Parts: sequence; C-alpha cells; structure tokens
Amino acid sequence: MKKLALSVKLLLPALFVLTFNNSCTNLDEKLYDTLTEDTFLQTEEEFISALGAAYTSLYALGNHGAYWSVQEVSSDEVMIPQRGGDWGDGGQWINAHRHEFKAADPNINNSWNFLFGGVNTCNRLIFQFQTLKDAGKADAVLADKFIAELRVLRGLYYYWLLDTFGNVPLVTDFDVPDGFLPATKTRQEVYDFVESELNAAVPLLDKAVNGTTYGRMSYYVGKAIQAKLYLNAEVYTGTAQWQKCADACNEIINSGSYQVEADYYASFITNNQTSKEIILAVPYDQVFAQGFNLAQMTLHYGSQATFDLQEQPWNGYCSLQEFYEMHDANDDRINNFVEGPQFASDGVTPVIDASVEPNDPDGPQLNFTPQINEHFPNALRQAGVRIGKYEFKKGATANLSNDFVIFRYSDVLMSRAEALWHLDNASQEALDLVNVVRVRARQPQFGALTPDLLIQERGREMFYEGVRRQDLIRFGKYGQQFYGNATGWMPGSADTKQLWPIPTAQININPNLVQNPGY
Amino acid sequence: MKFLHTLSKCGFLVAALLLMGNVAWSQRTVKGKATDADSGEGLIGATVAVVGTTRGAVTDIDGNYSVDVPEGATQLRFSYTGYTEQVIDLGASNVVNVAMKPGTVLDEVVVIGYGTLKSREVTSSIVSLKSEDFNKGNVTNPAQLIQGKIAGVSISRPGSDPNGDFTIRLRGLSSIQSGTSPLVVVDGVPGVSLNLVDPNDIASIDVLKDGSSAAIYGTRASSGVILITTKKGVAGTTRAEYNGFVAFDQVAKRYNVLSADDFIAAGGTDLSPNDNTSTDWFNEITQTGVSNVHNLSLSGGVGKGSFRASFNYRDNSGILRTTGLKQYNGSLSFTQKVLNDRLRIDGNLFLTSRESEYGFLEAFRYAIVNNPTAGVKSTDAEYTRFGGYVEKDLFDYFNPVAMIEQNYNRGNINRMLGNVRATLDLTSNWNVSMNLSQERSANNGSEFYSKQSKFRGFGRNGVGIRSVDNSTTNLLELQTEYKLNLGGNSDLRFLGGYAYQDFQYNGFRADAGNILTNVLENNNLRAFQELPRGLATVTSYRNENKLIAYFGRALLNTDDTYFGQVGLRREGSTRFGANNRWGLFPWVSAGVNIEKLTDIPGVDQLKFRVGYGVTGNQPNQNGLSVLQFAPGASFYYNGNYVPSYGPSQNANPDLKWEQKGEFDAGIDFNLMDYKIGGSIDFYNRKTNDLILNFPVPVPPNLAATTWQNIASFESTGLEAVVNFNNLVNNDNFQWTPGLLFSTYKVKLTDLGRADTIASANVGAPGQNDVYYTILYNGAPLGQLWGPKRESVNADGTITYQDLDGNGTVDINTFNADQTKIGSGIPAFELSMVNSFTMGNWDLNFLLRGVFGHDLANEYRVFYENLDPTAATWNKVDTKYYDPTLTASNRFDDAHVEKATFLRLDNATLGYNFNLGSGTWFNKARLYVSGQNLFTITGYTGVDPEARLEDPGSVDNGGRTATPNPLNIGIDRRSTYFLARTISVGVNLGF
Repeated sequence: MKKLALSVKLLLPALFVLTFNNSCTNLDEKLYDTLTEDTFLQTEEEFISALGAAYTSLYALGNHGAYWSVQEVSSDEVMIPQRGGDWGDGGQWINAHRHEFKAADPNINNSWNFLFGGVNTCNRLIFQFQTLKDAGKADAVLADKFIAELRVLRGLYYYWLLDTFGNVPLVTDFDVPDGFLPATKTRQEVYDFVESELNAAVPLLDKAVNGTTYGRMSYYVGKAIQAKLYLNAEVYTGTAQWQKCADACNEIINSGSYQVEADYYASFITNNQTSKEIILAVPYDQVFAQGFNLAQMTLHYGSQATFDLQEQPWNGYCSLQEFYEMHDANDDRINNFVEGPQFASDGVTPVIDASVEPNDPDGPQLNFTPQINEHFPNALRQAGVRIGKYEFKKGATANLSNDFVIFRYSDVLMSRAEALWHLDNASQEALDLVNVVRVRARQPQFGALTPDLLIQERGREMFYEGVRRQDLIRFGKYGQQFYGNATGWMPGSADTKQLWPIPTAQININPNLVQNPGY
Repeated sequence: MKFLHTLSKCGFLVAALLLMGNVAWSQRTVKGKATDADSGEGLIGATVAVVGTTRGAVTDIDGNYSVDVPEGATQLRFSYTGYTEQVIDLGASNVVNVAMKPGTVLDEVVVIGYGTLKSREVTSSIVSLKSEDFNKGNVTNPAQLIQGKIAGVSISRPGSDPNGDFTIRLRGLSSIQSGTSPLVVVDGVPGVSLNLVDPNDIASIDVLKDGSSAAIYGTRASSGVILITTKKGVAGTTRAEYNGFVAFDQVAKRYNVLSADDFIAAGGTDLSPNDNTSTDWFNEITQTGVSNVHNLSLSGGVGKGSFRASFNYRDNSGILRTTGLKQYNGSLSFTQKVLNDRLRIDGNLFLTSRESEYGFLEAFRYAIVNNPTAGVKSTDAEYTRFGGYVEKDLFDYFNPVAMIEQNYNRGNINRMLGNVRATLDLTSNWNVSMNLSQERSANNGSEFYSKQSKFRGFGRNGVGIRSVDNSTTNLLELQTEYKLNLGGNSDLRFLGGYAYQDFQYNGFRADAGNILTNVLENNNLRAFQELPRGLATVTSYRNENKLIAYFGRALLNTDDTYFGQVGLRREGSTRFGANNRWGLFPWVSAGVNIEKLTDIPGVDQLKFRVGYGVTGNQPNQNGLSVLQFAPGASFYYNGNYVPSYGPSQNANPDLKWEQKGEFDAGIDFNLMDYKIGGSIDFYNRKTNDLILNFPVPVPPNLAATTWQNIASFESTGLEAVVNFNNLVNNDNFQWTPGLLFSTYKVKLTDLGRADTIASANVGAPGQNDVYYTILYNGAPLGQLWGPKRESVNADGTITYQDLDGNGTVDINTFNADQTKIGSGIPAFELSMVNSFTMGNWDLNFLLRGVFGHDLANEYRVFYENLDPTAATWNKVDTKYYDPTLTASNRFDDAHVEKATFLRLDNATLGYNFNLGSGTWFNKARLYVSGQNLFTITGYTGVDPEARLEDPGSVDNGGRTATPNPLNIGIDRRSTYFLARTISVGVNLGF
C-alpha cells in the first residue's frame, strides 16, 4: 500500500498538470495561409485592395451563363441554337430567345445572383469604409471618395435590375438584423431610388478622364448611367424624360474628354484601352483580370486553328441572318461578324470540320453562313455568323485581354439624338449626331430620322453591347415576331415578358419577394 | 518543435512513473506447455494469463510458455482460438502443462479502443477478422482483405484502378463535408492512412461498428473505426516466411460499340473515306495487367524480447495501359521486457514508398466513343501538329492512344510511421503506459502534357505540373489501467487517459505551359514560357490543427454473465469556434449471457447486448470558424492592376462538433454444439449538427457562405450473420459456410433549408443544367430524379409523361414533369463465405450480392444514339438501343437501370504440401486465386457496384472535383473499367 500511495502522490499532480497546463490543453487556432479580421485592412494598400472586390464582381459580364448572356440571347441580334447533341442545356437558351423565360431557369437565377451580388458588395464596402472612417482607422478623404464611387456603382447595378427584373427589393444598408428579408418594391420605386442616388453621388465623383478613373466610376460614367435611365424612363415609369436624357448626354459631349474614333474597331481591339470613345469598360486582362470568354462562347471547335487559341471554343453564340443582312456590304460594322470559309492561322489551309452534317450545304470546310436552318433541336454546327466585334488575338487564352465596353461615346451621341428627335421630330442636331456615327462607318448620311432608321442604326452600331433588348422594348418591337420569315423562331411575346421572372430559388429563400406578372 | 515542447511538459510524469519501476516485489516464474488434447501437438500462440492481474504470456511455436506470477496470484487462464478456455489453480509446482480441447470459439481476443476484450465480454457491435479469414488474391489495399466479410461495411471501388482508393461506408453515410470514411487505427495509433501497412503484415482487423464501441475515439469515429493489428514476432524459434504471387488482370466487361462498317451503315461520318480503316479503340488502350508481389518476413526473439521484420515489394499493372504502381514497404516491430518484466516496450516502424502511374482514366471514355473509321496514327501532314496521332477538331473528342502515349501523370508517395509504447506495471493489477508516434507523408505529383497532345497539351504548347503535399502527425497518449477483482470471475476494470495529436500540412503546386521542346518534360519548370508571361499557376499552403482529449472507461464483468461498460471522452479541436471547441462523447453498453442463467436445450451461448454512444466528426479543413479574406482577381487602379481582397467566409464562433447518437441492440448466439453461430444487430443513428458551407444572406453577412452546423440525417439498419461451423465434417472433407446480410435506410431529416435543390449536373456536351438527383428536407438519400418517357414517336422524337397533369410537358423543371426514377442506395447486401478443406486441399470463396439499387448509366445518357445531325462519335450498343429514336440524347428514366448483382468476388484453391522432417520448410502452400470471376446482373454498364459518391461531370480535358457523398447512384464516364484477376501464389515457411 505504501507503493500505491507513492504512485498516487505522483499521479495526481501529473493529472493536474495535464489538465491545467496551457500547452497540454491549448486549442487556439493559428492560420498561416489566410487573412482574417485581425490581420487584414491594416494599411492603405490593403484598403484599396478591399475596394477591388466591388469592381472585380463586374468580371462576370464577359462570360457565358448570366446577365449579359440573357440580355443578348433574348434580343434579335444573338441566339444560341441547339446544335444536335450540343447546347440543349435544359432548354434555358431556347426559352430566353423565345421570351419563354422560366423562373427556374439557371440563367435567370445566375443573372439575379450577379446583380444582387454586385449590390451587396457595394453595400458591404460602404459599411466597412464608413465604420473604419468613424473609428479613425481610415483616411477620411479617401473613404468618402470610395463611398461615393460605390454608391454610383450600386446605382449601375440597380439600373440593370430596374431594366431586367423591374420589381426588386431595395437593399442599401448592411447592418441589417439577422433574418432580414427585404420586400419587393415597384419598378417606379426602384427608378426613383436610382435617380435620387445618382443625383446625390455623381457630383462627388472625379471628372478626370484618364488612367486614374479608367474602368472605375467617374463623373461622366455617372452621367452615362443617368442618360440610360432617362432614355428608357417611359418604359420604366410611363413618363418620358427626353430632356433629362438629352441634358445628361450633353454634359458628356461638352466635357470634350471623349471623341468618336476614326476606326470603329479602335474600341474593340485587344489594346482598346486607349480608345477615346470608351466611357466605361471592364479592363480585362488575360493574366490579371480574367473572365472575358467571347472567343470560346461563339467560335466553332475548329476555329481553334484559325486563331491558334489555347483552348477549344464551344460553338454556341451566333447572330441571326436578318440582323446580319441589315448591314450594307460596305458598312465597316459588318466586320462585327465572323462570316464565310475559315482557314487556319496561316490563312491558306482550310479548316476542315470532321463533324459536318451530311445535310450541310457548304461541305466540310468550316464556313460560317448567315442562314441557320432551325432554332432547335438540330441546327447545323456551322450555321450562323459569329460575334467578331472584339479582336481575337492569335494565341489567345480562354481569357481575352480586350477591355469589355459597357458605355461608349457613340451611344451617347445617338441617345441624345433620339431624345432630341422625341422633343422635336425635325431637330437638325439629332440628325447630325446620328450622321456622325453613319459617316464613321462609311455609310451615306440620313436625310431625316424615323423610328425605324433609329432602331436599325442603333442595332448596327451597338451590336453585342448589351442594349438591344431595351432598345427593342423602347421602340415597341420586342414583343413582335423577330423578322417574320422562315427563320423567325421568336413567334412574338406578351408585354409581361419584357421583365424576367423572379427566380424560384430566390422566392424560396425570401418569401417577401413578389413574382412578376405573367409568370 | 512545438510538439516537443508539449511533450517535455506533459511527459515528465511518465518519467516520474518510470522511476517507480525500481521498486520490485516478490514473484516466481511458471513454465509449461500447451498442447492439443487430441493430437498432443504443441499449440503456438495460445494465451496464458495470470488471473486477477494484467500479466500474461503467449506460447511459442512448440507450445512452451513462461510467465512471471506475482505473489498472491492463484490461477492461470489458458485460452486459444477454437479451444475451450481452461483455468488452472496454481500449486507449489512451477511447471503447469495443459492439454486443450477443441470447442468454443468464444474466447477470441477482440481488439477494442485502448485495449482488448474476450469475445464473450463484448457488449457492442464489433467484428473481428483474423488473417485466415481475409480475402486472398491480388490484394493491394487492406480494405480488400475484408470486402464483403463484415455485415454493414460497404467497401467498393467501381472499376479496377490499381491506384484507386476504396470507398468505405460503415452503416451508410454519417457526414457530408467532414470525414465519411472510418478512422483507421494501426497498433493503437489513430488516424493512420490505410495505405501505410502492407496487407501481408496484418494479423487482424477489428471493426467498431456502433456508437458505444467507437465513442472512445470520440472525434472522427462517426463513420466507425477500423483497428489494424500487425503481425508480431514470438519469442522462441526464429521463423522466416516468404509469400509471393503473380497476378493477371484482364478486362472483365466492355461496352459493345459499332464496328467501322456498321458505324458507316448507321450514318456515321467516315473519317477515312479513302481506305477501310477500322480501329478497335478499346483494344488499343487495354492490356493484360501483370502484377508481381513478394513478401519476406523474419520473426523471432530471445529471452524477453521478440521482433518481426518484413519487406514487401509490389509491382502492379492495370488493364489500362500506363496505369500501375510499384511499392516498397518495410516494417519492423519489437517487444522488450525490462525491469523484472515490469516494463514492456513495444516499437513499430513502417516505411512505404509507392511510385504510381496514375495514367489517364479518360482514355476509357474516349476509347468507347472514338470514331472507329479513324486510324490511330497517320503520316498525313494534317496530323503533324499532333505528333502523327489522328486527332480531329471536335469538342470533347480525343485520340485515347495519343492521350496515354504522349503524356504522363505520376506520383510518388512516401509514408513513415514510427511508434513506441511503454507499459509499466505499478502493481500486479495497475499499469500505466505511454504511446508516442509520428506519421509523415510526402506526396509528389508529376504531370506532363506534350506540345502535340490535343488532350491538355496542344493549346498551351506543352504543360508541366509538379506538386508536393507534406503532412506530419504527432501523437502522445498516456493511459492507466486498474483492475479490481470482485472475486471469482468477476472484475471491474478502469481505464483513464490523455491524448494529444497535432497535424501539420504544407504543400506547393506549379502548373506551367508553353515550352520549347518536349525533351525537357517537366524537369525544368523555368523553361516554360507561361511563367514569365504570368499565365502559369503556382500555389502553396500551410496549416495545422490539434486534437486534445481525456477519456475514461469502466468495464464490469460479473461472473461472465452480466457485462457492462460506461465511458466518456472529452475532446477538443482547434477546428471549431472559440465558444465550442470541446465536445463530450459518452457511451454506455450492457450485455447478458443468457446461457449462464438458464439451460436452453441446443443453445450453447446466447447473449443479448444493447448500447448507446455519441461520436463526433470534425470538418476536413482548418480556419472555418473565423472571417477570412481571400485574394480575388486583380483590378485596375490608377493605371496598374492591384490585388483585390474580399471576404471568402464568415465567422462562426459557435461552430461545433458534428454529433452522432447511435443505439444498437444485438444478439450473439451459438447453437447445436457450436455448429451454428452468429449475431443480429439492429441500429438507429441520428446525426445532428452536420457541418456544411451554407449560403447565407448578404447582408447582413459579409460573405455569401458560412460554415454552419445545420443538417441532420437519420438512418436505421439491420445486420445479420450466421456461420455453420463444419456443416459437413467427414474425415477428409469439411465445409464451413457463412452468410452475411445487411440493410439500411438514410433520410435527410433536415437539409438546413426549406427549398429543393437539383443536384449532380449531367454535363457537356448538351446536358449542362440537367440534373440526376434531388435533395430536400425529409428526402431519402439516393433518389434519381428526371422525366419519364411516354412513347417514342414515328418521327424519332420522344413524348414525355405529363406528370403534373397541367396539359403541357416541361421536362426541365424538377417540380413540373420530373419524378423519382430510381434509387442509388441498395435495398440490402448479402454475402456468402465458404471454406472447404479436403485432405491437403483447401478452397475458399466469397459470393457477394448487392440488391435493389439503380444506376444512371452515363455512357447511355450521352452515347445511346448516334448524334442526330453529324455522327462523329460512336455509340454504345446495349439491349436498350432503339434505332427508331433519333432525338438528341437527354437523361430520363430509360437510362436508369436496376443494378442488382451477384458476384464471385474471390475464390482461392490451395494445396498444402506434406513436409517430412528434415526438409528446409515447415510450411509450403501453393494456391490459385481468382477475383471477379463472374457477375450475374442485368445492368448493361461495366460495373453494377453501387456508386456511393459522385465525382461530378467532367469534359474536354477538365478535372474531376472532390466526390460528393450526397449524389448517389450515378455511373459516370470517368470510371475505370472492371478487371477479372487470376493469381498464382506460394506461401513458404522456414
């Protein structure tokens, strides 16, 4: 028993040590390869890097599957036909083109997530910068500048939401209570919010047009958003705002900071950042800012040889025959399309398509022809001219380096023209502004403006710049059968289809959302 | 070094305890021999225990033993597998011989967590398999040893990839994003890789199936525990053993595809219109895989020490050309007793080096669909850019021969486990022990894609990839055991312990393209132009985590009649939120041997047992409970691209253990003079607080997801085993068959969200955003979901059923015209084990059946019909092919097939040579073994094995993701094909 007692004497303190000694029980986690609240946002450099998250959320614009894709495919300038076994993808792209949007379609939910993701990032950063500023941890001038920028960027996202989903919740705060489920606001309320927000924040922005504002929210980017808002005000609210639109455009024009480039494609080449015509672009880069996948989205599998692409394209997006044929053969802008027989990068060797259908009239050499035999299910794989507006640099990766244009000066000219024409059908300035765009494309000047001439010219000038859908709506052509000949698969749609359905997935999460009429 | 620091602080008490070893007490040594009562031969490996103490010994090859008996001890207990236990009173003599009679199988030693029990004392669901019960044949992974032999443990590896790992599911699924595989414990070291130990070195495998048995491992034990005990040396005679075999793998089944002529006749595109090229692509990429395995071991010992050393060499080749592995494995174990036998030191060292040729499993898929009219190679100038291999600019279309010949995907994994355990007897019934171990692994990956390889290489002008993943795990465990004699055969045993384990990981990966010449392969990454151009990808990581636990257990045995066990483990992990790092894992179980209470005719043993235990599970990653900021893309700021950082995950200081509470009730029985034995188990397990990276609203959250304890499962199941010992028993013919049955159901009681999620994207080409499965609260796991065909129309299109009866058919919306079209989880599994002996011959075989599950056959989903517009791909030709159908392929109920199967998993025929005295050998056995000899099934795919997780869709040279265990029943195109294996081997003892 003596031994037992001795053992107990030794064991008890040992157990005591095991229980209370820190290194035996310490479970504090040390993270070596990630940043946390304790280690991030310490310097101005880190402060700037936080702002970046708001802009990098725009990088989703240039790839397949969400907001931009649905904007384009639901218009008469772009479609994704089902090519046999390819591109069925649950019917969502056929639905979009026929305006038979379904609330459960993934592309609709992706669009919502993209737009509200952008809104939320802006809200978060406004909140974080304000908090840091209030706590004296951030330079107040820099914080205020960033907060104004973020308010305008949020305004841009809400303008897009206003344009597509129409009736959406307005979320502007970040420190909301747990379980916060914002309710749907009317399109009028959303419009009013965007208008007042831009009126308040745009005057705070930098008027410089150079590298310090490139790709970011500046004073004139704010004016361009206002111009768009007022251009479509009648669609959004029932009340036209032509004078306000014309005024916003005029500020941009009178700034003298922008000009129409002699070459239409100066705004779309790989190194288009020097274009004096770009007001806002996503400054994509194949290394630093990836996500512009247009070559993959539109080109044929065999086009890899034409452009020495690093990855094989997906053979999806193409334009419609009638839209293509709306262009004069001498119109500079006809090169917005990739058309005709295709050759390897040496320019001599024909690209042979091993998957050519026996009923393809052009034979095995890859040949992009305007005619598309059918919308689905068995469109020919080579059918349809492709989107060639942006330069595809030889040897490009899947991520192009061309900057992706959101607002462009010639659109501002034509928007002012349209507004002035509405105010006065005989406006000489309106005619002159449109003719600036015509002349640049080596097209004869118009003698007078009509709605048809305006919508057609806008179509040619603004192809694949994400405005065709709203232009068609504004000119009352969106619900009409596209073109109306044998290839017109869009049979016409009800006015309710001008808005997209609120995604099922979002209504499931937030019962305070109200589905749009007609869905 | 931190570990050493901890060790120095925590370990001093052990040193203090060791000091006490200097105190000796009076004792004597008893020697003797254990023999078979019938034959008089010595019994090797019989256990001799000093009753009422923790002392004991094991008999040597001749049956001799020597045991130190402390003062006061009065009895020795002799036990041996298959023989009746005997307890002999000690007299004055120091020699005790015992003749043992064959009889009960009750007294096998069962390994439990932190100790052992006799099988009669077990009160929870534990299965113990000895090496003689293991599957034979071409076994590379220890999981194969027990496949089909334990009711409730599903071990599957669709296909026969020599480098493929087995999916082990114990009683269904117990987690989603945390560990879904059982905890592996090797010789008392928890958390060890199953690949560390060579199958040849394993003496026994014990599986802790239920909560009450596994809870002592608390954390990580929710998916069960596999305890591996390696072979040890026996003091006495030195022995050497050689085991070797050569195995031949052949393709067990392939898909029928159209020949070149049939393909053209069916409207396929002829890619060689000027000649009659006809290529059997599948033949071009497959081979007879030849494997060689050699194992040499040496064991023995002198005096108070014993050792075993073993060396293993494996050279395996798969049925897909360029797949295989070479593995070198060495292990060393020793036991030494010192300090008058009061201190016992055991040590183990395992070293494994595996060189793998992973190859490219995609080759199977492209061999099935590649155009039979295309040649393999051509001298046409058109193909110079592809190195002379015939490739076409088609989407998701590759020459599979080029794929495997131009490129490589290799790995080299080195693993080491060293462990030392010291056990000190403080008194005759009280001991303390310390267990120290370190496991290290280094995994080097190496891939190269030729400049001319259309698969991954051509577009980037050659690609080189190198990667290193290192891990180090340190373990310190201290424990003490005390045994309180309650008189007779009754006792109470206590165990207390402390465990510290840390895990350190770091790694590095570089992926670069664009190189001047293939000659350099991936040996000089600097030569790749993507590096200076900023297009290469280089990543690295470093993280560590810790587990700390205290545990205690009390075991009661009342006269071998009533048994009880109660215990608690308190464990903490760095991976949880600051508020919830520690979890409590209690358990309790009890059993009663009815035959001790009442005499039932024909019943030799009947035990009822019941147990309940709580086990935990921790997430697979670190840092999940804190707000993290991660680098995003760069953004353009004042003329430069600068990095952007955003929140990647929200904080959750309340993140805590996943908890599983499991109730198990069972019966163990032996009837008719031990002729019939078996057990039945029923269980119900509720898994709560499952950790998911779950979408949360922004605002108020910074990031869109938070790791949360959110979902829950419930599963119930039944397992039954019955063995017929020597059902036929003539002088020279014995047959012992056994049957195993198991069934379970899993329900997602709470998914953490109210909505329904379509899951498992079918994929490209043409079926993105089409899904195989569906998940919602209350859903049974494993539902396949899709539209149902009404009819195939005259124009070749399909009319689908209007399931919601709304007059329009919408097959693309899950709640419109889609419904349940199959279930991926089997209704039940049934195995039959058989053991025959006839003179010198022995025959063992295992028939394994899995019943009632469905599989979505993805080859049919994509390649049932030729493409309606341009048939450049071949098609699979099954009994379901309908030539009138010309619509594009789209997943529906026609692609879901019943996959019930019965398979002769394993059969081994052996001959034991009679060895006269004076021969060199004391054992010589020759055998031939077959695996997957036949499969009876109606399934048209290559392997009807249940798919319990889903690697997801992949196309055009992409890479598969981490498998998702919620998506069940999908036979993807990325599966390795099944092999039939014949091996011939020899076992020699010297």
